[in-house]
Amino acid sequence: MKPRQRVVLLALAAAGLSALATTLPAQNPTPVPLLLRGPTPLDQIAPAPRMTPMRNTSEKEVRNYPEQPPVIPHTIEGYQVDLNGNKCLSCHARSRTGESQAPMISITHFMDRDGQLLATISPRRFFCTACHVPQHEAKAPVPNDFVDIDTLLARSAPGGVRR
Amino acid sequence: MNKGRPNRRDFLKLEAAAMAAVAGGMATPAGAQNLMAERPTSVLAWDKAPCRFCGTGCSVMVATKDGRVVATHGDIKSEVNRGLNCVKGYFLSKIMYGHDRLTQPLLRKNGGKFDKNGEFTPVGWDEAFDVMAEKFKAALRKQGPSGVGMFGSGQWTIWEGYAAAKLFKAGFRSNNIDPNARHCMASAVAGFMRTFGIDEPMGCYDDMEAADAFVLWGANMAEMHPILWTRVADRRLSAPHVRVAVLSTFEQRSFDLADLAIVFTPQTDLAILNAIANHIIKTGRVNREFVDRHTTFKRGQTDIGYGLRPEHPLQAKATGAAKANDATDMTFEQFAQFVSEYTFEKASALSGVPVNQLQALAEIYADPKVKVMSFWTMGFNQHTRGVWCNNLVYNLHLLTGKIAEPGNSPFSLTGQPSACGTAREVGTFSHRLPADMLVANKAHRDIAERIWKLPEGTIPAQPGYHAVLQSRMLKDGKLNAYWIQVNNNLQAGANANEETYPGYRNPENFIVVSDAYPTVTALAADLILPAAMWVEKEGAYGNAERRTQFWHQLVEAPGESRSDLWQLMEFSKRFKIEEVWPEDLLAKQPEYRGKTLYEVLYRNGQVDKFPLSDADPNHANQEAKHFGFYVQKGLFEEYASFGRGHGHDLAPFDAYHEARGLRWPVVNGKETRWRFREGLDPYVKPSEGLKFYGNPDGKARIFALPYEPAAEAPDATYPFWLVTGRVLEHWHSGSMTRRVPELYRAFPEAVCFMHPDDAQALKLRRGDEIKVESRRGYIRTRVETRGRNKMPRGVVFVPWFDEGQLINRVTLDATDPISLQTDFKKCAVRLALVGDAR
Amino acid sequence: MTRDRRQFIRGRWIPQTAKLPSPGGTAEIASILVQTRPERLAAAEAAIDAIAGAEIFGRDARGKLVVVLEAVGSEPIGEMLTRISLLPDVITATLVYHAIDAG
Repeated sequence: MKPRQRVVLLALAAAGLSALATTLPAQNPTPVPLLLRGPTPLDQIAPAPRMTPMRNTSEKEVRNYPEQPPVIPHTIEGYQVDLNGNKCLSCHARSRTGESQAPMISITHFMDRDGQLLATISPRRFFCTACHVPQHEAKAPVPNDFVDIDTLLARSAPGGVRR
Repeated sequence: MNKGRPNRRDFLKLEAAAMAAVAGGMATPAGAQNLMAERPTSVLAWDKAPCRFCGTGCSVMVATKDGRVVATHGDIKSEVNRGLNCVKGYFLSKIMYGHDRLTQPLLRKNGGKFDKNGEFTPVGWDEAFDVMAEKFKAALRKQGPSGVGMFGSGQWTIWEGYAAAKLFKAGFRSNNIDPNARHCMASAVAGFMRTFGIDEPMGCYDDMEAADAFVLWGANMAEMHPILWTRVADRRLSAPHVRVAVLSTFEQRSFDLADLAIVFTPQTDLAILNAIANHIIKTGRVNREFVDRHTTFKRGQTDIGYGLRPEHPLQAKATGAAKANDATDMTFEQFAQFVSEYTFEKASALSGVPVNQLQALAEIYADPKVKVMSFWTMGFNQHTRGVWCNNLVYNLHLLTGKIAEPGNSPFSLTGQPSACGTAREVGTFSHRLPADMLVANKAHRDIAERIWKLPEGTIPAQPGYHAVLQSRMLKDGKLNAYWIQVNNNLQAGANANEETYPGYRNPENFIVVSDAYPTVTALAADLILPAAMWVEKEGAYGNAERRTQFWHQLVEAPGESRSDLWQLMEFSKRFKIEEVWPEDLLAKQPEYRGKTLYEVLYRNGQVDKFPLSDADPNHANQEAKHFGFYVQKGLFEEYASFGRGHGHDLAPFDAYHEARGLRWPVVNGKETRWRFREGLDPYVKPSEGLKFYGNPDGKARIFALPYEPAAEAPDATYPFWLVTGRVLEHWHSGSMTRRVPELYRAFPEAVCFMHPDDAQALKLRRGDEIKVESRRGYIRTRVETRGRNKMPRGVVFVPWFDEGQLINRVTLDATDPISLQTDFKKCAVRLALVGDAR
Repeated sequence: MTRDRRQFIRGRWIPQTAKLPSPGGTAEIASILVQTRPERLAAAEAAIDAIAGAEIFGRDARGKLVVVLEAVGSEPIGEMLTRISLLPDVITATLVYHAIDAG
C-alpha cells in the first residue's frame, strides 16, 4: 500500500473513531433472529415441529405472583366441562379433595359477581380452562425476564441478593 | 455453607436460620431470604389499567415495584369483569419482559449507508428519522400524497390514533391511513352505519344479566371473549329458563354451554338469517307497531363482487361491484315477498342444519316473551358479505322490536382494545374522520378543518387505500413510503405470498415498522423503530360497550424504545409545511409558512393547551415531559370536541382517570347504558319514546339482502374449506403471548384441526406433518384430530398465532366490497403428507 | 426405614438413634435459637463452632445466636441439640425449625 493511501486511511480511521466516540450506538450490524419462528428465512416454508404431550407430573409449579392462576400440571385430554358436568371438579371440588388429594378450588371460586360466597362453585367460574392451562413439554424459545417480587425485595434489603 | 452458588441444601439452611432469627426477634442474618418483609417494603403500588388484550375491556390492577410490574389481578371494582381475567390477562405482568425486546432503532445498512439489502444496524433516533423523512419526502415528490401510507396499531391509544390521523390527513394530506381494525370490525361499522346511521352498540354488557336467550353467530366467546362468557355462563347456570344457542362452522368451546348447538356450512349464515326473518313474518310475530313507527325498508344492491383486484374474473363479472353500498326503498310487503323464498327447507338444504334446529333458533327471535341477546364478531365481520350479515341480524331485532332495552340486544362484539375507542371513534380509517364523519362529505371536512385550524381544502375528499389495497399498491409500486405501527401485517394480512410480502420487499418502497418485539413484519422492513407497550405510556382505550378507560404510565419503556405518540410527533418535526402543502393551500393560511407539521398540528394552541402541572405528579409521563405540555389531555380534548353535542359525548379528560371508565354518550357527568331509548339516552327527547337519531328520519333500516356464495369454495382440486382464527391462549400473532413461557407451553405451535374421518381417508394420523395448500401458497403444520375444535367433514381450522406457520400465505384476500374487510374464514385448500415423521 | 415429608407431617418422628447418610443424600437440617449471657457470647460461639455440622448464622450482642445444624456423620440433630444446651456458656437452646432434605 502506498504511503499516501496509508495516511489517508489512517486519517479516515481516526475520523471514524472520533465519529464513533460521539455517535451512539456502535454501528455494528445486529442480527434480529425470529426466535419464535426458528432459522427458516421469511421467503421459505418452515418445517412444523413435532407435537408435544402435556406435562403430566401432578406436581405444583411455582406461580410468578400470588394472583396467577396455577397452571394445570397434568394432562386434561378428554376432560369434559359443559352443561352435563365438570370433570375437573371430580377431583378439585371441596368434597372430593380428601380422596383425591388435589388442591381444592380456591375460595375465590365460590364468590358471585358481588363478592358474596355461595354454597357451591360460582357459575362465573365454571369454565376452568378460561384461566387455568396445562403445559406442553415444549421449551419456550424466548426467555422471559420477569422478576418476581421476592427477588426485588431481597435485592433492596440488607441481606443481599437471593439469586 | 458452600462457597460459590448456593444449592438447595444451603437454601434450606438459610430458611431455617431466618425463622430462628424471627423467633428470636433478631435482624435477619446476612444472606438469609426475607421470608417476611416489613410492611413498608411489602406494600405494592397498585394502579388500574385496562387489559392490553381483547375488546371486552376488562380492568386490571397492576402492581409495580422498583420500576417493574410484579403482579396483576382482575379489578374487583370494574363493572366489566368484577375481579376476573382470562389466562392472558392473568399473565399481563410478563408480556413486556420478553428477552428479545427491541430497544434501539435498527436500519438496514451496507457500508455505513442505508441499503435495502443490508443488515440491520443500530442507529440513533435522529438518523432513523433523517432517513425516514427523506424517504417520505421522496415518495411525496414522486407520487403526491397517495405515495405515503400508514397501517396502524392494535395498541394505539385514543390520542395516538388521533395524532396519526392528523399527521396523515391534515399533514401529508393523505387518506392512506388505515387501522388493523380494518381486518376486524369494518363490516360491523358499515353494518351500524347502514342500519342506524351511527356506529357502536345501542346496548351494553348489562344486557347479559337481563337476557332470556343468547345466540352466538359464529363467535367463539368461550375462547375469544372469556370474561363476557363468564357473565353468559353465570346467567345461564343461575336462571333455569335461560337458553344458549351457538352457531359456528365447527364445534368449538362455546358449544359446551349450548342448549342449541348448530354447525352450518360456511357462508350459509346469510340464508339462516333470512329464514328466521321469514319465520317471524309467516307466523305473524312481526311487531307491526314498532316496524311502522321506527323502521323503513331498503332493498340492498346485490352481486357486489369480492373486493378482489379489478382484473380478477369474479370482479369483472360482478354487476353491482361499482355500487356495492347502494340501496333502494321498498315496502314491508315487498320485503316479506323477498324473504319468503328462504323457507326452512331451503336454508336447511344450503346450510346442512336440520329443519327442527332452524325452527328452534327462529322461535328464540319470534317469541315475543323471550329477551334475546345476539353476539357476533369475526364469523360475521370477516366475511365477503359481512356487512349484509350485520344488517340481517339487526333485521331480526327490528322486526320484533327487540332492541335498545335491557336484555334485548343485538350486540356486536369488538375484537381489539383499540377498535372502538381509537380506530372507529377517532376515525383512523382511509375514508373517515372523527365522530363517524366521512372524508367524502364536504360538510364533514369543513368541520374537521375548522377544529384543526386548517385552510379549506386541506383534507382530501377521496378515500385512501384501505388495508388490502395498501398491500396491493405497495406491490404495484404506487405506495412507496409506508409506516406500520405496532401490528404484524405480514403475518395478519391475507394472501401474503402474492401481495403483502412482495409489497414490503418491493425495492421501490421504504417500509418502517415500529414494534416492541422482532416480528416477521419487522424483519421485512427497512427500518425498525422500538415501541413502548401498554403501561409504559399513559393511555386510553374504548371497549365494545362504549366504555372509555384510561391508565397512567406505570413503568419506563426499556432502552431507546418510545411510544407511538412520541414517534408520530417527533417525526412530524421533520417536515416543513412547504414540503407537504401546495402553494395555493398555503396561500390561504400564510401564517403557517416556515412552520413544521409539528407546530401546525400539535402546537396549535389546543393540543398544547394544558401545562405539565395539569398532569398527575405521582405518575410518570414521558411524552408530556419530553414535549413540555400535557399532550395526552390536549389531544383528547381537541378530539372530544368533534363528538360532544353530536351523540358521541366524552366526559372531561380528568374524569376518566378517576372512574373505571364511562360509557358514552356522557352528558352532564352521566354515562349512557342504552341508546335511542327515552329516559335512558339523553339525546332522546321526552315523548319521543324510541328514536334512531343516527338517521335524519329517526328510523332504522331493515335490509333485504340475499344469500350469495363465497369467493372461493372447495372443489375437486382443493376439497377443504380453510377457516382461520385464534385460540384462547394467544393474542393475535403471538408476539406478546408466545414470549410468556406459561402461555407458550399452553399452546406451543399451530396445528390443523380436522375430522378424524377426513384424516383417515387421506391416510393421515394425528401428529403427521402435512402441507396445507391453496392456489396461492402452502404451509407445513401437524394434524390434530382431537382437542378443543371438532371439525365437520370437509372443513379444517388453522390458528394464525404462529410465525412459524404463516397461514395467511394460504388465505385469499377477498373482502366484503362495502366494508373492505378481509374474509379470513373461507378459502379452499388441499392437504398432503410431508414426510412420515410423527 | 422410609422417610419422607408425608411421614414427617403426620408426626412420625425419626428415631433419635437412626444412622443418617452423609450430605448429598438424605440429611436433617435444623435451626436453633441459643441464648447466653452477653459477656459469654463469644465463648459460646467458639464452642458451638467447634461442633461438626453446626454453623453460626447470626448473632445479637444481647446474648442470642442463630445456629443451623446439619446432621452429618452419625450424630443426629437431637443429640447435637442436647450437646449445645449442655455447654457451660449456654442458658437455653431452642429448636425452631427442623426439616428433612431428601437431597
